[in-house]
Amino acid sequence: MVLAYPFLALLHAIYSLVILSISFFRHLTRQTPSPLHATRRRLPKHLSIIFVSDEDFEERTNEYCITESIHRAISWCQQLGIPQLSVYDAEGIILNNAEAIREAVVPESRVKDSELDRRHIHYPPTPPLSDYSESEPLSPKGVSNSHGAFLSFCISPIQSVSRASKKPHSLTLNVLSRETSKPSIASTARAIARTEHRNYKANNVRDTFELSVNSLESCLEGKNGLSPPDLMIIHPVHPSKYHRSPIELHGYPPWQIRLTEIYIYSCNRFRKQYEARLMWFLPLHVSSTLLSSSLTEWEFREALDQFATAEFRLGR
Amino acid sequence: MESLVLILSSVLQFLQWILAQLRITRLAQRSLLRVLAAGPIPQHVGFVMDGNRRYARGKGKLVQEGHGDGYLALRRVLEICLRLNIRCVSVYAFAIDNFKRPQQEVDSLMQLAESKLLELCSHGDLLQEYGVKLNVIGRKTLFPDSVQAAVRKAEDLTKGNNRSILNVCMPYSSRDEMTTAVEDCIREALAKDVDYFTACVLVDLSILLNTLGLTRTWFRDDPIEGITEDTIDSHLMSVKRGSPPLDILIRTSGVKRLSDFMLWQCCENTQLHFSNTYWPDFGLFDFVPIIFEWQKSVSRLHS
Repeated sequence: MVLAYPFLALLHAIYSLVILSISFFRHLTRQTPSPLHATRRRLPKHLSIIFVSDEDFEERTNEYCITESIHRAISWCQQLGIPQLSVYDAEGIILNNAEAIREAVVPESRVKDSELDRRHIHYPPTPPLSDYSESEPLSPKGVSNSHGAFLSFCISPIQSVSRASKKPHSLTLNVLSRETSKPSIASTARAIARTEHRNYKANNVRDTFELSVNSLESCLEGKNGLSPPDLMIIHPVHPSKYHRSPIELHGYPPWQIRLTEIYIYSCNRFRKQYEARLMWFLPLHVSSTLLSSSLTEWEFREALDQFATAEFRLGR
Repeated sequence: MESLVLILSSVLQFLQWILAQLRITRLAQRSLLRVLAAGPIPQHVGFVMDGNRRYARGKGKLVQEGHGDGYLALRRVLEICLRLNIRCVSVYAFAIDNFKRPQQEVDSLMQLAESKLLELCSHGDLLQEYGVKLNVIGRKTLFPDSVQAAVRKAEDLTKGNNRSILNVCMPYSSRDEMTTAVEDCIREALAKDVDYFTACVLVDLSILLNTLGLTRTWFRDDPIEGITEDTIDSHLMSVKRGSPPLDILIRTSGVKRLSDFMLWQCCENTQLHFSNTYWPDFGLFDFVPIIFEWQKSVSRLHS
C-alpha cells in the first residue's frame, strides 16, 4: 500500500505529459471557425453565458472582463439576430453592475421613452391559471418573499449597423445570479403551497395535492419565468487556471438546462497554462491584467459552429 | 500422426499463452486500480450511457445487440468503480422520452431490463459480490407490470447490502424527479400546516405553558416558509435513497448536453466530462483519465 503513492505520483506525471502533448497537438491542428456572419444551419434563439470569476484576481479585473465580454456578446447577438441573451455568474458580479451595463447599452434618450417597458424585474410567477382558477392572485407577501428575481432588459436594435441588409432585431438581456437557480425553484414551491393553502381555507375541501411537470414548467419558464437556453458558453475570466480542471456549471438554474448544448473552449490550454506558471513573479495587478481574458470572437464563433452541427434527437 | 500431435500441442500451448496473457492484463488492470484507489476517490459518479445505437450501426449490428453490448459495458464500468471504492454509481438507463422510440426497440429494451436486472442481483453476481444496493429511480409505474415485478424483486434481493449503491435511472427524467420532490415538499408542508393552524389555536394555551417555562418556538415555524432548496434536495428520489452529492457526470458518444439527467444534482460542484467514445466501447482507459482529473483538482483545492 505504501508503494501505491509513488506509483500514483508517477502515473500522474505521465498523464500530465500526455495531456500536454495532446493539447499542444490540438493547438497546432485546430480549425478556424467559420466567420461570424457565415450562414449556419441553425442559430440559437437563446444564448446563455456563464462567467467564472477568479478569486486570485482583483475585483476590478473580474468586473472589467465580465462587463467587456457582455458588451461584445450583445453586439454579436444583435448583428446575428439572436433574440435572447442570458448572462450568469455565481458571485453576483453582473447583478451588482447591472445598472452600468444597462446604461451603456440602452442610450439615455431611449430610456426615457418607456423605461418601464425596457426594464423588468421578474419575480417567480404565480401558478398557472388553468390549475388554480379559483385562487386569488398572490398576496404582496408572497411576492416579497420570492428570491428568484432576475433582471431583464430589452435592448432595441442599433440603427447604425452597417450591414443593414437584415432586419434589425431587438435583444432581451437577462441578468441571472445564484438566486435565479435553486432558490427560485424553492420560492416557486412556496408560492404554489401558499395558493394551495388558501384554496383549502376558502373551500374547506382537501384533496391530495398533485403537481405535474407541465404545471411546474409553466411556473418556472412561463410568462414571467426564464426560458431555457439553446446554447451555453462557459467563459472563465482566468482561462489558464480554469482549464486545468474539468468544467462545472457553477449553480446555473437547473430546470432550464435540459436540452442546452454546452460549449467548452479547449484550445490554447497548453500555452495559457504555461504562461500562468511564468507570471508568478509579477505583481498581482499586472499579472491579472495579462492573464485575464474577455470573451473572444473566436470562442463565440466556435460555439455557434458547435451548435449548428449538433444533432437533437429528443429521446427518439 | 506425429505432425498432428505436434500441431495440436502447439495450438494448446498457444491457447495457454493467451490465457496467461489475459491473466496478466487482468492483473495489471487490478493493480492499476489499486494504485488509483490510494488517491482521493469521488463519492458519486453518474453515467449517461449514450451511443448504443450508433455503435451498433457502425459495426453493422442490430440495435438490440448494441443495447446488449451496452449492458456488458455497464458491468465492466461498474466493476471498475467498485474496485476503486466509489460509493455510489448512477446510470441513465431509460428516459421517459425514450418511450417515443419505435415499439420494437422499446419492447426489446424492456426485456433486457427485466432479465438483466435479475441477473445483476442474483446470488454470486456482481452486486452481491461487492455488497451493492440496487435502487431503480424514476417513474416506475410507466413500466409494464412484468418489468415492475422484476424491479421489485431485484431491489428486494439487494436491500440488505450497504457497502455501495447503484442507481439505475429508468424511466427517468430529472424534471420529473424535481417535480416529485417539490410536490412532496408541498404535501408535507400542507399536512404540517393543519397541525400548525390547530397549534395556533392553542397558542393561548402555549402562552400559559410558556409562563410555566416551556418553549413555544415549535408553534412559530410556518411549514410553508420551511420549503427551501435544501428541503427540495432532501426530497429528491436519489437523495432519499441514500445517494451522496454527485461529484462527476460522464456523458459518452460526444454529445454535449445533459438530456434531462440529474440536472439539480449536477448544476453545482459536479465535474462534467463529455467523452467521444460510444458507451459499449467505454472502458478503463476512458475512465482512468477522468479519475486523474478528479484527483488533480482535489489536491489543488487542498493546497
